[in-house]
Amino acid sequence: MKKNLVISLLLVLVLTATMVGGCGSSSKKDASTTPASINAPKLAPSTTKAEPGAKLDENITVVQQLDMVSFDPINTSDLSNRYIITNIYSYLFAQDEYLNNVPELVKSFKRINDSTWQFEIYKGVKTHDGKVLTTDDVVYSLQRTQKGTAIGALFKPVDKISKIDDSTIQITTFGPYPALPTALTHVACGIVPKEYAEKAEATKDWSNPIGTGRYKFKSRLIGDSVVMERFDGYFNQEDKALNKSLTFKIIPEGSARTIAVETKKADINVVFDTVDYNRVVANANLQLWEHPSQTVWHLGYDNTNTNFSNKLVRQAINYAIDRKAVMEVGHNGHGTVVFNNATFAPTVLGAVNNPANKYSYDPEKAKALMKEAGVSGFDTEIIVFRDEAERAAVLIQSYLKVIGINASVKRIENAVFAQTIQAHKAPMFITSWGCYWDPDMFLARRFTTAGIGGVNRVWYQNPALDVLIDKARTISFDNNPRAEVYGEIQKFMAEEAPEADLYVNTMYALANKDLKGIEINVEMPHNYHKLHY
Amino acid sequence: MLKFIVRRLLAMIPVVLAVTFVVFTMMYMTPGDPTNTILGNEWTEAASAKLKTELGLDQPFLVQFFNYTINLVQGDFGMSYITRAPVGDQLMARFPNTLKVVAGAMLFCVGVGVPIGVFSGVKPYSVFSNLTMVVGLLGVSLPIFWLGLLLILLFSVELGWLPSSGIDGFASLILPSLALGSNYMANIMRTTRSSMLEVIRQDYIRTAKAKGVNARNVIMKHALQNAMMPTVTVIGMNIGALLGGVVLTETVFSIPGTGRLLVEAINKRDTPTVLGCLVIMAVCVAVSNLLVDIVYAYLDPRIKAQYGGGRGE
Repeated sequence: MKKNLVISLLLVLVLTATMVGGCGSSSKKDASTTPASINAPKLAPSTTKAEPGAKLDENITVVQQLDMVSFDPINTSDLSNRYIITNIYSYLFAQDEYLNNVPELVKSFKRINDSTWQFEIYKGVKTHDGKVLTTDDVVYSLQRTQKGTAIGALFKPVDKISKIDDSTIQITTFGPYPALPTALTHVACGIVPKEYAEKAEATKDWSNPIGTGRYKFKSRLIGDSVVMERFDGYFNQEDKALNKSLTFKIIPEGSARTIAVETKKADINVVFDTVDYNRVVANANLQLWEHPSQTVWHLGYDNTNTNFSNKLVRQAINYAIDRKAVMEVGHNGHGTVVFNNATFAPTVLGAVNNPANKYSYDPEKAKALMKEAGVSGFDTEIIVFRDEAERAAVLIQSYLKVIGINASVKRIENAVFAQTIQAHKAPMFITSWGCYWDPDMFLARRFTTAGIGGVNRVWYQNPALDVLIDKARTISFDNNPRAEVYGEIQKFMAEEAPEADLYVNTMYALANKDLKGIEINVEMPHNYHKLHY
Repeated sequence: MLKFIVRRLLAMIPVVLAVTFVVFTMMYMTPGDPTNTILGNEWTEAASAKLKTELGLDQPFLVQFFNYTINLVQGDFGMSYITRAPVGDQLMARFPNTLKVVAGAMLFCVGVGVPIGVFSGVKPYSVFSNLTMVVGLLGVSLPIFWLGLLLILLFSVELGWLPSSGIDGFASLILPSLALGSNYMANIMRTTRSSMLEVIRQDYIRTAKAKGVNARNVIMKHALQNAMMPTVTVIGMNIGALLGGVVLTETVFSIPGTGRLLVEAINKRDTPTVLGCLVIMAVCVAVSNLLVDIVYAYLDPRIKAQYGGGRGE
């Protein structure tokens, strides 16, 4: 009996030691001894072409985190949906690496006057069911987009969409809207043949989509995968798919997605979790590509809250935070620090980093500003609903304490975030904003009365800013003068400091070492039709 | 016996209705609304109000509940607020995957837990018995999520023997079943062990041995049947627990099942999908309890007689 007890205890010790040892973070190769040149992330190119001898008939498997929602383009603007259905449907304009517009179905376009645009559509564009796309289909699709909710504010300036002739459509806007071509890149603007769309709407069944894109739908296993095959009748043979088929596999867990590529169950992981960074750079069978995003992580505050209504307090907060450290904690250091107060990512039109060189990490300056404001300190709350934001909030909490602001961190669900903002129950919050290249597509709704009740989560309003935003939109259709006005706006906002922008995170794509054609935009890896071996 | 089964099946109807009412009420009272998820950065009060009218969310609570229940009784789980597609389609696509994982885990629990529990009960102070208790303790203590990732790293990444994700074939069920079943196998093992310990001390076992019945038949024919009653109870309870615990397994192994669907639907406040998942799970738990009661009848003739309306003496 005693002998058995001793043996059992020894077994427990051995098992515990094995478990503890297994919990260690050793990897087969220590990343620090791996030559930096082998698998350090490379900056993704903006466009790629197939080399001679490339294999263009491979089946490519793309893993992503979330399942798609619907093949109806106007259903949702979720990224997980967008990067699947944009292979099935064509668009008047596709997105380039900065989410700016690149003509796809549009052969040419012109602006007749400040509020009238005409777009010539390619003729003979075949649909997946063997018919030919008409301008009636285009008009129908865009009118449907206009009535839907997914595109929201981006189509608010659009007045009428009409057919001019068999190859030309016309869009009129309420006043000048230089960003219209970029608005037409929105996922909700997918062109769907009218006959199919009417049938799908009537039966509420979008499960067998018909489009004109590079791929035809083949099959879908809900929650698991979507399979599509190359459409050999795609109208632009110069830019057709370089692979035979795409399979989108849904793998919710970050490390499991990395493992899928490691074990060659997938060719590319387009939602790479940086927790696996050290492991993948040490693996010679993988390649990691990077691209700066246009997603600005920021600390917002309710500008109507008495604590934040004083501009000096808002400026003090901007000086109090070490953004680099916050980025280290929030995104393991994978990103670029941003000093801005109007959510301008560095790659956005007219972006100026640290306008007027105003801000830096300077706690003494922050304390001085608080003193000047006559505020010794106050209690407040930072609302978060994502892991990265929560980590950042805990660190920011310590920076704010130095200047007398006692902030508690409160985690809520995503589903109640909008209501929490609406009810003025988010005195401070951390979230992200993904910018379009053209600031006209986000500035007004983020910082003016147009956005109150929407994404103007900082409740900021200033007639002077309204004037500047309007000026940027109407000064010219040429982007250079517009960029100058956006520079002025950023300086203005640096003074006003309605929020504290922190950093933009880096986008990654993890792939099999032999996979070619990898491209990443400021949102996600994209252009999967270019993937090949 | 047939009457008993029919009565129990009919009794499921009020159970399902009660589950529907409770869940519907909870989802109604929970803060947050699905228009937040659907509209995302395009959320405005006006757009939200328009969408709520489209989805019928502007109706009073009882009207919404009544409409849902009428459809449910006709087998219609309604339309998902998020995908605007029938919830039934999602359930039909995903629920079989959950059943496969749960069945695999249960097979592991019973297939490993019962024999080890029997052996451990027959030889309670042996090294093997102590070792199995430690292994059982580990099984209960290791989080499914962590164990799942470890199994993937070992069997998929290092050894390359088994797939790391998906539900494509028998091989893909092995790791999820192990990960999910480990937690519950210990319960079954310990219950079987303690009831075996109790049963083998009974007089009728001593009598059987005295009659010259060999050890194998003493255990398998005389002891096991009586010792299985508590184990069968635990197995029945574990089915409900497995259905609840399967969501972590489905996440780690990327299995498109109802566990994951349920959690996603709760996060997005997609009430019809939440209700669809929970109604299906409630029916499963009710059916598994019925099956447990039927097994009781075969293990213990007295219980069978009771079901038939007799006094069971």
